[in-house]
Amino acid sequence: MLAVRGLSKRIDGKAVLTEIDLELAAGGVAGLIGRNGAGKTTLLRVISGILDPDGGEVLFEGRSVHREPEVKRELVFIPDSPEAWYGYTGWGAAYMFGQIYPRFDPACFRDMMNRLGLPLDRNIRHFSKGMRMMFSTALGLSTRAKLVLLDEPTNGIDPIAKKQVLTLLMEAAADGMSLVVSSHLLEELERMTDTILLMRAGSVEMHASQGVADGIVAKLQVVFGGAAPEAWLRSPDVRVLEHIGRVYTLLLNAAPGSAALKELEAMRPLLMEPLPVRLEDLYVWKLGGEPYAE
Amino acid sequence: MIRIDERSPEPIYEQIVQRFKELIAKGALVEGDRIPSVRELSATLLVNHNTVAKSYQELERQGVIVSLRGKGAFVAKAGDMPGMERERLDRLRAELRRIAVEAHHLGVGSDQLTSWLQTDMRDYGRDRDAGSAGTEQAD
Amino acid sequence: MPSNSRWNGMKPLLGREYANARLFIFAVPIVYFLIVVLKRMNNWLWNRPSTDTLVRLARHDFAHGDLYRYVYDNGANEAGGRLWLLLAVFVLALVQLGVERRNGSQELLFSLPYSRARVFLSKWLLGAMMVTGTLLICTLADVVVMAVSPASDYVRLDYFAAQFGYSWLVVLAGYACALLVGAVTGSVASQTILTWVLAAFPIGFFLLLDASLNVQGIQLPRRTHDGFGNSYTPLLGDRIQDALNFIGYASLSYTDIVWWRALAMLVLLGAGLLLATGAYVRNRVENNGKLMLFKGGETVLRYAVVLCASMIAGMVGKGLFRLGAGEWLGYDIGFVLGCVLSAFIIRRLLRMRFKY
Repeated sequence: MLAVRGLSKRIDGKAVLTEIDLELAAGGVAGLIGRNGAGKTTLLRVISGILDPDGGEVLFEGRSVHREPEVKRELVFIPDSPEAWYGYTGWGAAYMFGQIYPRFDPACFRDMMNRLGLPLDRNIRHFSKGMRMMFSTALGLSTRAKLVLLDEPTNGIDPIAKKQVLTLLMEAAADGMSLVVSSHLLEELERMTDTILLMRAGSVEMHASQGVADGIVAKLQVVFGGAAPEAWLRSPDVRVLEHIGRVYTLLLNAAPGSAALKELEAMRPLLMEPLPVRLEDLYVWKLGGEPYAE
Repeated sequence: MIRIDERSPEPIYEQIVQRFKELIAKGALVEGDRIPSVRELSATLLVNHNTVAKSYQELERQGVIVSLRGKGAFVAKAGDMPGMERERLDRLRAELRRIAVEAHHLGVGSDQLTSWLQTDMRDYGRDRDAGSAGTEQAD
Repeated sequence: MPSNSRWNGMKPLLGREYANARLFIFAVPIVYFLIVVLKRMNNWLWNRPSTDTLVRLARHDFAHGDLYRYVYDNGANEAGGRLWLLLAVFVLALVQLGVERRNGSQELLFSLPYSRARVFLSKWLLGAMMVTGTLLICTLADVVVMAVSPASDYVRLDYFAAQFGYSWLVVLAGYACALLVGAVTGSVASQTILTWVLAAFPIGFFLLLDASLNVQGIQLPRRTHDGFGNSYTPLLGDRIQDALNFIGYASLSYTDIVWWRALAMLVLLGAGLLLATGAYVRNRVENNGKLMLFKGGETVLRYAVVLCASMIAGMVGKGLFRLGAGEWLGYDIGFVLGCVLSAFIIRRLLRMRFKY
């Protein structure tokens, strides 16, 4: 459904996106993660046609979003701050979107706004930050577009509202809409998505959400017999997550060809217990050593 | 009614399968009860709908639920699908064998093991409603 | 695509543009009405014209030129109205292009399923509709006022038609240029400054260039229109300046409105629109907030600023250092200092990002 080919973008002489390739199938939910400044927002803005790429192309159902903007009737971008709607009421915005998006559903919009407890006839300018974010998520999902890109949809909203917004996302996905969600909520994303797009220094790695770290990284709780092998612990295949007394929580390189696990077994530790590997562990493993890009 | 354990190493779709079987075994869900749609469960658990759908397919394959087109999914009559039942019984038998072996190595005697099993059977098993066995459940 | 769906595609965009500038769009015709029609009413309906004028009106003894001078004030109302409309379209261009860069509006518009050319067209259409509507309503009102005035015998429809057509061309050409500046600049501040600098450029630049050449001992041929050779503008520059001075076009009196001037405005309108659309389509959104959006624009601005700033600094230097070697030395010192300083400042400015 969405294919990104060799996408590059430089801003102020700095490469923000470098040769990004990715392909998303219809009906899925993809989570876009990465550190601040890794280029997540830039990627979403290029895909939605706000920014022109310096190289490469973005194809939606085989057609370029930059050359044929009308394909975006089925591709909606929800930015992280909906300032553009200042001066509009919920109904006003819905009226405009109703004219633009062929499958916009006003009843669905009203229903979502009611569930989120948002008034439909108040100026968006007078909403709080979290309310604005919820409003624009509801507006975007009400287009019933095939693909919706959301840039940090839970930015600035309280835990109860967060759950409500995520519920709306899951319902939309179950109704057949494809979503790309940029977020730092790793725990939620791991369950909600079927694909994880991990951004790192302008490029994207794709992982299946289920067993997200399989064959990449293993997590173990270890107690060493004698003195801890300091040199081994500092090797690039090992990362110490936690160290309380003699108990170490370690991430080990589990890629085929890595000897880390065998080396550990050879040391015959007193305790060596595998722990479930979560998305957060993959994130720390992949990005933990990276400084902020900004 | 369904809870996902974040810390469990068990994949989420297996957790969902397991929780449904537990609810049915406990009697919280009985034959003919409608279970939540994929959309509803996905939205309440905040779990990807494909994952939920996969769990439901597995439950259906095991004969735990039946889905009626356009109406939703319902708890099936136990042992409704004989082929499935055979496979599951075999698996249950193998599981018990594994437990017996483990008990041997741990030095747990058969008396102890039986009393544990009885406790669990009282909580989940068929012993509790043995009196009503065979009686059709009204919808 | 059938034309109907084309229009349906414009509706939401136009609706949004209208919603953003609603109050302003109603204020423009009202002020234009005050400047043009109300003034006419004041002259002919509420104030009694002088007895002399009334006698001459009754005798029908206005020669062709006199008619426009005495009855139509040489078209001063319309010239004033044009200047107001130009100010209005400048502000509109600022709201439509400069402000939208920084309030998320552009982000929304560019993510919609419309080409940027269409987004731009909707903006221009709104402005064009505002100008056309204002001119149309007020010209009709003006005709009615004249028709019920003591000078009703002198209602000249060709006068109103010419004024309407010329005003329309001048204001829309000015609007196209304001949009072009808005499409190549990245902030409200630089759009504002550059628009006004460009408007003043023909007069200012030739004065500066002439004065600078004079200091260096180069004399351009003078035009001697006062009979004593006292004009300070060089002959060639005078002509070019006249042809380029946009404000001059806007403030023409009626009898000076000639075909080539109308044609020049038409060309400016077409070229301005074409270039502005092209620039808007290539909008470098990531450069929003900077002085200029495009590399080429930055280069042009850099050289223009350094050149003008150096000449101005030279003139200041000439005034400050009265050295024995002659005034050119002071000028040269100022010129070099100005050159270095302005090159440094513009370099810094071009890298900065502004909120507005």
